[in-house]
Amino acid sequence: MGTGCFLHTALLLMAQALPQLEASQYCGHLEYWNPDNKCCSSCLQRFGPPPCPDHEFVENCGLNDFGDLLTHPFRKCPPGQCNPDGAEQCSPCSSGVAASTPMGNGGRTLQRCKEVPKPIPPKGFCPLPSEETRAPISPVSSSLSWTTKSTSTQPSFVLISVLILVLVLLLISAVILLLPLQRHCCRHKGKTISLPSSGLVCGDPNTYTLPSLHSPSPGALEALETRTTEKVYLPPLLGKDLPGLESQPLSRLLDELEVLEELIVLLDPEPGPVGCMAYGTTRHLAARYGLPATWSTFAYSLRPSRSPLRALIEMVVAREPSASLGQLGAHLAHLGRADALRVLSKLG
Amino acid sequence: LCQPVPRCGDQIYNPLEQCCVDDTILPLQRTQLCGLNCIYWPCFELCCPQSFGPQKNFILKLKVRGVKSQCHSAPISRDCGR
Repeated sequence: MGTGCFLHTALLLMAQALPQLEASQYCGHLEYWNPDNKCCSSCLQRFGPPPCPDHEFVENCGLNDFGDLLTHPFRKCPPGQCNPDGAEQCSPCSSGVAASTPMGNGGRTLQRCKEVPKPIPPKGFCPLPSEETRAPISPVSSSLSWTTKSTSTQPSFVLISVLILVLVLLLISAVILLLPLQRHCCRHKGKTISLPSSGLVCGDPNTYTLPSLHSPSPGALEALETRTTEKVYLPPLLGKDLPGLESQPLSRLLDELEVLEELIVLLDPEPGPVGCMAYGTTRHLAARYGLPATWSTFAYSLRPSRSPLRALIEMVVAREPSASLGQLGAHLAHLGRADALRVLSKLG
Repeated sequence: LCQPVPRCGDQIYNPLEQCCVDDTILPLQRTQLCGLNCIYWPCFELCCPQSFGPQKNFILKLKVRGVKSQCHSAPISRDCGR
């Protein structure tokens, strides 16, 4: 992070001294300034309509010209005004006519962003108790989604099930295809090798770090043999307890707090064991799960209030519910962390 | 393996260095304010208002890569009020 970031941080700190959000210098009331694209974007396109009846957008939906969300995007209608239909602004209760956008936008220049045509996000979940709202809350709509489109829970559950099934089929076919190659490469050693079945590491279309996770030069086959060698010399603990861990979901680790705490003590601190960054810490574990280095930097910035390892486990579980403790064990073994593996084996 | 280049709106971006937030390409290390006193990483966290009440606290949720993260279902990263 350079001087530009320092200046931005300084400006952020100065902005905090302001008692309330100032209106945008560039955009109208129902838009916000996008400092990266240098244009005005629609509040409705980003946040959807007000989720609760008799609420409206605040000035620039709570965003300042630096892109910071300083206040809640919505507020209750002023006295005497209503908004039962989820319009962008409230209108006098008696008239029943929606208020129009303020004329001239206070003299501010409008530079509209060239947005890809897409539907307006649906109305989000209203967190207010029912007695505070006039209109019934829609049972289908999900809660507020501030940066992404919302979806109903039932289709997402079906989608997750389909995704898990597709992943399992891909893993099985990958193992079937790789098995003859492994036997050919390792025939002289007299044994076959089973690669860790981690869809998050190899070939997952969501990782985009596939090239960096494979060993670099001198070559894939040589790297495979190296990995094979490491696999051969793993402590007996791995061979004995991995089968027990393989069938257990990674989410179990979030419930076994004692084991998780022990792993946090072992894996989070930097540098790694023997005072060297070469051995696996949570940072390296995150890389094995396909996360970029910047994510690890972000996760470590959460310390001490939040453990990077816990954040990593939660991320992996949320992304792939079928992730297993066996995969974690395999990653720990590849990182050379037999101490953490011993702790993990308690769950076996 | 060939994979489609990720798009953000009508632009392409490098997911090793950038992310896409509301059709805007941001550097991964970008930080922003969530509320008046909480700095967060928009590429990795969601800034979620907690309530409509007068306190109007914000809470940060973890974004899950490859999934459309939502405030109501994402795991908690930090509470901005603390």
